[in-house]
Amino acid sequence: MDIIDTILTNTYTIQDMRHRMRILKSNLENTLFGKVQTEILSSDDTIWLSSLTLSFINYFTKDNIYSSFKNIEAELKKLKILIIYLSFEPEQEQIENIGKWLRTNLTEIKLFDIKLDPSLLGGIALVKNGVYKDYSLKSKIQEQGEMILVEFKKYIR
Amino acid sequence: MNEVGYVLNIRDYLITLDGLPTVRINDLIETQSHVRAVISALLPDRVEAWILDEGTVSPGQLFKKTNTKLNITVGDFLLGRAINPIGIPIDGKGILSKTRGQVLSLDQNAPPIIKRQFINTQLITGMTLIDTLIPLGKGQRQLLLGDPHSGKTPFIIDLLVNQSRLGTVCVYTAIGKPITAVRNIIDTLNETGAIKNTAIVAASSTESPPLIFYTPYVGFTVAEYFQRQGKDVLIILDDLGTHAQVYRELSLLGGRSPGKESYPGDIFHTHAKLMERAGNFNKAGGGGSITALPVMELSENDITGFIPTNLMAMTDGHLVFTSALFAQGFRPAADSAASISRVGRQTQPRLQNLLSQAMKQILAEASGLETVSRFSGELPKQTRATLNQKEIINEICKQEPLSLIPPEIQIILLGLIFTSFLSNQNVYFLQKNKLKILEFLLKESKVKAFARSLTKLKNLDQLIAKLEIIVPKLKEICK
Amino acid sequence: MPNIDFVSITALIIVTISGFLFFYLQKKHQLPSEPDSYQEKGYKILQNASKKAQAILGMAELDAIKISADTRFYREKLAERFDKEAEIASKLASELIKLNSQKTVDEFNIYMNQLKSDLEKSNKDFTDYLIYLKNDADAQKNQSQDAVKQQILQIFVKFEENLSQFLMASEQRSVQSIELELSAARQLIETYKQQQLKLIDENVIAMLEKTLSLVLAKKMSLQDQVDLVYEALEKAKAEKFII
Repeated sequence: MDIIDTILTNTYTIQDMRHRMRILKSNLENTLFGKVQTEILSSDDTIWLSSLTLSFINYFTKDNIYSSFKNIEAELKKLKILIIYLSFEPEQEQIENIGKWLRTNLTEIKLFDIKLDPSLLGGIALVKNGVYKDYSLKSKIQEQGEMILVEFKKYIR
Repeated sequence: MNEVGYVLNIRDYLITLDGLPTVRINDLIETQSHVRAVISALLPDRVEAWILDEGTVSPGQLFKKTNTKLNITVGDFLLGRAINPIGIPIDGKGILSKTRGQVLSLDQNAPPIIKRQFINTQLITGMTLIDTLIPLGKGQRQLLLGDPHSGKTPFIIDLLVNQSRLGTVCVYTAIGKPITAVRNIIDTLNETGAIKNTAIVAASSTESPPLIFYTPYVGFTVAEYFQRQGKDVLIILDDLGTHAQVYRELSLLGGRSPGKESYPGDIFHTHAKLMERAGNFNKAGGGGSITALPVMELSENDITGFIPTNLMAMTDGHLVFTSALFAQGFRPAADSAASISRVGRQTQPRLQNLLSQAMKQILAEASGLETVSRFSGELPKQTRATLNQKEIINEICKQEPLSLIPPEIQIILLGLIFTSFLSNQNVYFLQKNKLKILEFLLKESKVKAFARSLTKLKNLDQLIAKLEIIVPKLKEICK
Repeated sequence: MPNIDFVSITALIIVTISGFLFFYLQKKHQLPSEPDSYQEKGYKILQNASKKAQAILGMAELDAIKISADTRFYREKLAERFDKEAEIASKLASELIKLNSQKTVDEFNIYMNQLKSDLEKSNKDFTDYLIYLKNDADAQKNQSQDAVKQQILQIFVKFEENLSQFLMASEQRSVQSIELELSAARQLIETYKQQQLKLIDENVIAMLEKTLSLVLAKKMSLQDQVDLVYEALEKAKAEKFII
């Protein structure tokens, strides 16, 4: 859908997606129905909101705002999401880089989710469609345990 | 390659997850912190599971698929111990051995017909009423029905103690009983020394419902382990009414459609699948036998309820305990007219069979005459004699708790009714002297050989004639 | 003699009674019309009758006297004969008795002597027999004693043999079982050692992981981390896990 695609141009993670959906909705409600409550937006959010084109915002009218958002939700649920476990907490820049990489290299995945798992010593673990695959350092050590042990034993006097 | 799912929804112990694409019912899944759950339902886009272990689960938590079904570690070390359904000991006697045991899956199919054989050995309970009038066979399923406080638990304890003396392996499963009741049973068995032959699987009423639900499966798995070694096993499921209620709770919470009395539609299948795992097995099936005694607590003696009738349909007979009989001092308080054993007759030796037929005749006649006797003042001699005999039979069938009367001595006791010793005595004489008679019969060494010679007799008349030999000695004792 | 007298008396009585009867009857049944003729007839008849009766009586008396004389004669003869016979018989009898008694006494003596001799003989036999028995018993006793001694010796010998055999066999068996036990124990120790070594290996790897987790979290630069991430993503793409 166009709306999703427009939003998706900048958004890479599902959390960001939901967050932006929420602020978009509240913003639209404020403009269409009058200011009920103001919320303090972060600078990133204001930048993003201001980047949205007028035509985009004018698409939402009093009648179709809620139905469109429902449609967006339904569409979102259908999207395949890749869950990435990282061993560190990445910065926004890194997240965007990863997102861009995914967009360029893969066709299926549009959004991903970042989870934190320090026990993966480095690298990532991926979950797609309920299947878990471990590409982290930890798994590498497990696989190559034998060789490591051989190396250690060289040091046994 | 491992499959995972994330928790979407938590309702106490029922969780809904997404992911886990190839998981099946009864598979085990667990979190990083080893909190296990068992899959209970598969929906197109989600999976339902029951949490088994203690531990907090939060939405969004990751559950991994383990490639195992629900299982338990069994071994000979289970005799004398009490465990809960996930295999953790609850009797405070230390941890169980992990290396010496086998890991058996809980959800096994019942053995097919080619692995079974005809039930031809009697399960000797040591209680005159049961062994003679309502005999049980090894491999039979017999339902114990009764009101609360009708003596089912004392009967079970007596049975366990007597079986431990006879060498049968016993498995007692406490399904949702209060902790105090479970503790009581463990202590009683400890005191009488019967614990050494008994394995106890207990889920008290404070455990989570999925754990209570799986208790009988654990019990049967333990019983099957011993049965496959060729041993005779007695398993008591106390009680299946609570099990049905727990299953009802789990199903209703999981959104299944309720059926009769709000029980789920597959309650019969759930219980029948369990009961079918009992039986008498031939060499192909491992030898040995499993005798199952499910217990069902009734309300107001109503055996026409949904679950009691279900259980009666899937067992080979039932024993009905009534609180009225218990209050009158009958131990065991089983109503011999309402109870039936469909398989026991073929296991009884011929002489006991004849005796039981004679007993039943007397009891039936007497019950017919009883209503008459309440109305008329002076009864004819024959009627009085029959009523007297019935009272004597009832008095003989009352047994002290924790006492074992071997079958040969039972034959003597019941045969005495027809001899000159008791045929013209009344019930008070017997009440006064029963203990003395029993002591004589159980302790005297010559009586044992005499009793064994009786078992070879062919009919009642021969028995009565032979019993006249010891009548003078008994008369002497009772002076 | 009395018989004959009796006969004659009875004959007399019968005749007189018949006479009287006749007379009586006639008197009784006397017809009144002709009493005299009939009375005369009657007296005539009576006279005839009494004459005849007397004649018979006289004959009878004669016969009687005759018979009595005869009988007296024969009786005396008979008595004589009897006496004679009796004497002879008694003589014979006494002789016979003497003979018989003598014979029996002789026989008795003979038997007595025989009996005595027999008794003596049997006594002697008996004493002989007793002596023989005693000798026999003594011989047997000695024999059996010897046999028993032999047997005991044999038993002892056999016992010693068996004992030595048994001891050897049990020694062997115990040695075998000890060896078995030993090998089983060694096996157990081996398996335990292997298990423990495996555990140690696993522990080593776990320690390595732990150390790395502590170190890398602090020391690995962000660039390195990010590089690892992209490397892993590339690998996943290569494995077609994500497309």
